[in-house]
Amino acid sequence: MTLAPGDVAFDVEFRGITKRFGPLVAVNRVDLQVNKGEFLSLLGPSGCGKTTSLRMIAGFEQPDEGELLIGGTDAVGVPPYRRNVNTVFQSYALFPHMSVIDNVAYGLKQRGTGKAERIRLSGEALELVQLTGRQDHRPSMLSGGQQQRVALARALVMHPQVLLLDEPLGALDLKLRKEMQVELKRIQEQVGITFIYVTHDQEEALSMSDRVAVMSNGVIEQLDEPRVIYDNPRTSFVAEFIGDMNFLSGVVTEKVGGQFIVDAGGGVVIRGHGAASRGSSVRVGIRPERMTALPGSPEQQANSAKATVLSKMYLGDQIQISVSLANGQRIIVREQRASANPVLDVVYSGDEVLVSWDDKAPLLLEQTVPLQSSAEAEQYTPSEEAAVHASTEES
Amino acid sequence: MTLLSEPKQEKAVGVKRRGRSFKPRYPTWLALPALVYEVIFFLGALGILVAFSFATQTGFSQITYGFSLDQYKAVFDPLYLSIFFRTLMMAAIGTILTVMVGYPVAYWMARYLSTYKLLAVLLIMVPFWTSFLIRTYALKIILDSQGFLAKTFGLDIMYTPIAVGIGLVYNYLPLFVLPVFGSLERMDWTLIEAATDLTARPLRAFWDITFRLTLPGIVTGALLVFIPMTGEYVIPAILSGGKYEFVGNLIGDTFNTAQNPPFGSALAIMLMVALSVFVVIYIAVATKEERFGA
Amino acid sequence: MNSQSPDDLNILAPIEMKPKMDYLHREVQRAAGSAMSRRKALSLGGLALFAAACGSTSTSTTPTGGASSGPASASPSSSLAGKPVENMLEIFNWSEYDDPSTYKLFAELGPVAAAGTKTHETYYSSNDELLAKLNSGGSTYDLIVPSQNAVAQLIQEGKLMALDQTLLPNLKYLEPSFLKSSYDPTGEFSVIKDFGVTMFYFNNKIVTDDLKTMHDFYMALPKYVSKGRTNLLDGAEELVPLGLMALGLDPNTTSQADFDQVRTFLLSIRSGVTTISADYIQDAIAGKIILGQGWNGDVRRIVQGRKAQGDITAVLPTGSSEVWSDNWCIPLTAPHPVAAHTWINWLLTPTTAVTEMEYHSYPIPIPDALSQLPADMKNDQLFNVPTSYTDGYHYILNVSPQVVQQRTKIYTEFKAS
Repeated sequence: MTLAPGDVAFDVEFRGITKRFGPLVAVNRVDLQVNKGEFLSLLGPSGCGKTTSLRMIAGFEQPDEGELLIGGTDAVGVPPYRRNVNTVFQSYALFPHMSVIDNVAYGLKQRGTGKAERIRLSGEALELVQLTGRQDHRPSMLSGGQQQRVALARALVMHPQVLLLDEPLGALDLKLRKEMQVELKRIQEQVGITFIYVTHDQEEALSMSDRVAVMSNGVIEQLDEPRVIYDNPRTSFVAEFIGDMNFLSGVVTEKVGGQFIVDAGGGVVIRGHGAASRGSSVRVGIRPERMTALPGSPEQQANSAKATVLSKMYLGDQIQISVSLANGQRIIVREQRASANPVLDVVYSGDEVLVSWDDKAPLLLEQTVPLQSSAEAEQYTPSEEAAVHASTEES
Repeated sequence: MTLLSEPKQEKAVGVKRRGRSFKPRYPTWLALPALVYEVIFFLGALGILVAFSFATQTGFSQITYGFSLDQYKAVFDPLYLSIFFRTLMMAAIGTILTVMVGYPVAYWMARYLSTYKLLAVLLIMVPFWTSFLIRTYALKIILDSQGFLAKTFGLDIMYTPIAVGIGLVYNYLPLFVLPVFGSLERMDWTLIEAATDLTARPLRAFWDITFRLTLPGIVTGALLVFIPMTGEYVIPAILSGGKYEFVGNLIGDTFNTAQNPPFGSALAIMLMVALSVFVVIYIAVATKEERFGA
Repeated sequence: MNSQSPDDLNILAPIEMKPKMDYLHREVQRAAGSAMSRRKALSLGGLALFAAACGSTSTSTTPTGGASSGPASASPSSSLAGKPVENMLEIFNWSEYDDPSTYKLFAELGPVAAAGTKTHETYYSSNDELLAKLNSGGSTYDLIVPSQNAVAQLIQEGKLMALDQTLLPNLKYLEPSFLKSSYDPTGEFSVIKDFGVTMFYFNNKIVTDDLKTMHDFYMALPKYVSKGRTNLLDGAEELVPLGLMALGLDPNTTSQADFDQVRTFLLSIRSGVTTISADYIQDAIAGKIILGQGWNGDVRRIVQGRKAQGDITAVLPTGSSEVWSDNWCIPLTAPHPVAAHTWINWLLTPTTAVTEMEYHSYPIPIPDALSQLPADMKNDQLFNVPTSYTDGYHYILNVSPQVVQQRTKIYTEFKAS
């Protein structure tokens, strides 16, 4: 049941791909499907396997196991120069001895495109990345951002099926990086080419991508839309890696329908939604901005805990306090300053506050089921829930 | 004189300097030994050669100084020109062979070795640990008609230009490999990935990128071997069996056998003139290298 | 001289470095498996002239008359007779060239012992070096050992003392034909120390012709070169005069016609030459050379070295060939001339000559001494070269700078073609 290249749904597909470097398993039986025309980010800390995955798509590395399909055809063993993918390197890798236009036209020249056509197409590519009038400059005479644009133009002019970007903005300063993020997104939308973007910057990944694959230790922890990744991290790793997260641990004391009650100790009780089984130890995550803090110390109840303020920090548009709960755990509470209770401004270290959250805020991240009730707990599959959640949001 | 006036200058521009990065005052006299050395042993010796070349031989151990161009005119005898030509040809062939033998090993060392890279550099240098003369005699033993090569492979190439070529390559290889290795070490190999990513075949990528970027290193290394090769004396003497002479041997004969320093000096200076052409090329390429920084 | 010698490398080293360089050279030779022959040492050098040229000025202080002009030095012989032996003797010599016992026994001679003469010796390794030292004028020596070339040049420059024959009674032991020579026609300025000849040898299993003369040798080169390695002695002062002698011409000729003739002759046999080298002993002993020129001391070693194979035929050429010599001379400025004369006379004593010959293996032309040598030496024509040969041989001299130039150019062309 081979499909014609044009018919396949996926531009790139990993089927159980493993890549080892000596004893190190860089990529561990990864399955991945990259849709046509999407902007997909591979996000993770260094050494998570994201760059290796990218290099396998480019052809610089060959997988040890599994199948790699590009445009529906087997790409294992195909050298880089026979793949219709192009890469924007982290260091740009511009040829220092060639002018900007020669750099951009290099690939076309290899393809045998005529000189006039080469110059025309290269000029267009440079226009697309908004770098004109510097065609005859050497790369060393350009700023980092301009070099970045040349690298982009050099890859785009090839009209690849997939464009691979390996932390392309890593070397730029913050302001320029933000500009280029917008720029990249614009270009991707304009040319409609599939972008696979490797980054360790979660903000960058979340802001630009159609989907994000969070990687850790050679596996994809979660592959979802940015919002789902943020709102419903499937694992502790994702929860911790993406944004800030308060973790609370406890034992499930009650389970009614889709609701559970967790006793986190010290009178801290969490009520949330999820398939937890009674008696199991769980780890629950709550985003700092899903919490509110009120001065004074009314009675504790579920999703409302007494706390002592440890420190306070102004983050421009937000205010953040670090508090110690009655069970001794430290958590962070963050609020928009516009909506903050003005009284919070006069809260100081040592003050008593009541921290509360609604029952949609707690995310059930880990569950250790006691042996006797393991059968029940195994039915819990966060991905299903996340998938359902995502689909309902979309519809 | 300039050395002495420099500290004064520094005071005068002291205010301006404050704005720049810290640059400690250098005790300029530290450069003096080298300068003195150069002046006495290079310029001094060169001066003597020049004076000799315009002199006339009046007897054994006796010359009359003056300004005679006779020695230079004598250099243009077809016999001597043919020896100049032969020398430059052999040095050029030796250089090309050295490049062909040396570049691949430098490439391999720079790109494919990591743990043993330093060891490889050291091993390349090993021949330099022994005297040039001993090395060449050792080569003679190997190339000899009853030596290893002849007995094992039936290659009796001793006393042929091939033997001289082998001797040149063998003795000068490290001088070529090291600068080229340095050049390849600075090479950013992602450029090669970029080129293959842009559909260049590996060989194409090598020529367009690696070769092009290490060309200054190749030229440096090639000149570093070419120049001394043209002045080579021992290798042709030992490995050609006294035939296939280089200019160096001719200069030696002229000074020693013919006891004619004026003509010997004129030959030496003409060789220097011929070589300076190549040095100019070198300087041109070396400055270009700085511009790329590759 | 010998451009093939790597020793010439040190052309720009200071003169003081020369002994060290020579030592190094010998070590290298040893390492490479060939000991240096005395004759080969003769052909080394080169630096000296360079230094000499630096030392001399354009306004020469020494007489530079042509070859015809006579020696300029006044004979001091009359003033020496009857004078006592001085307490010092300064010898400037080739290294390891005299038996240690010769020095010891000299010191025990009656008049020498009475004067308490101390002998001090310094060394050089080329005639050029010797000439340079004498030209620089810094050192004073009582005795020097120049080869025939240098003797002629020093006589011409008036730097040698005419010897007092009355102080040299032992001259009577010397073979008369060696009393006077082409380089010292009056025999006044030098006394021969030892000598040698240039000859040739071939592998008789391969070269089957009956080669007798130098001309035969040259003509055999192109014929046999395809069968193995052939070797000529290197250096313009060997190649060209030997070629001239093969043609029956004067090796010290100044005639352009002769030079043209020898040039044509040498170029005609050029294709028959594999190597041009003084470094041939070991290779010949290893059986690598099938036909080559050599000095008799070396050829003797080659014959001995190939005794087991018995395939080397050594030929003292009939007709003309080269004879060379080293000589005792006293510089004009010698501070201790009586002691120097006493030394020369002592060396002419047959018993001393026997010890010396056994030490350095070069013949001294003293019949009484030669007859006392062991049979394997005295009966060996390669050592005790019969005068029937040497009478027809010639010394090769550096006649004039112009002649040396001519020779060098032919030599260069020969090598370059």
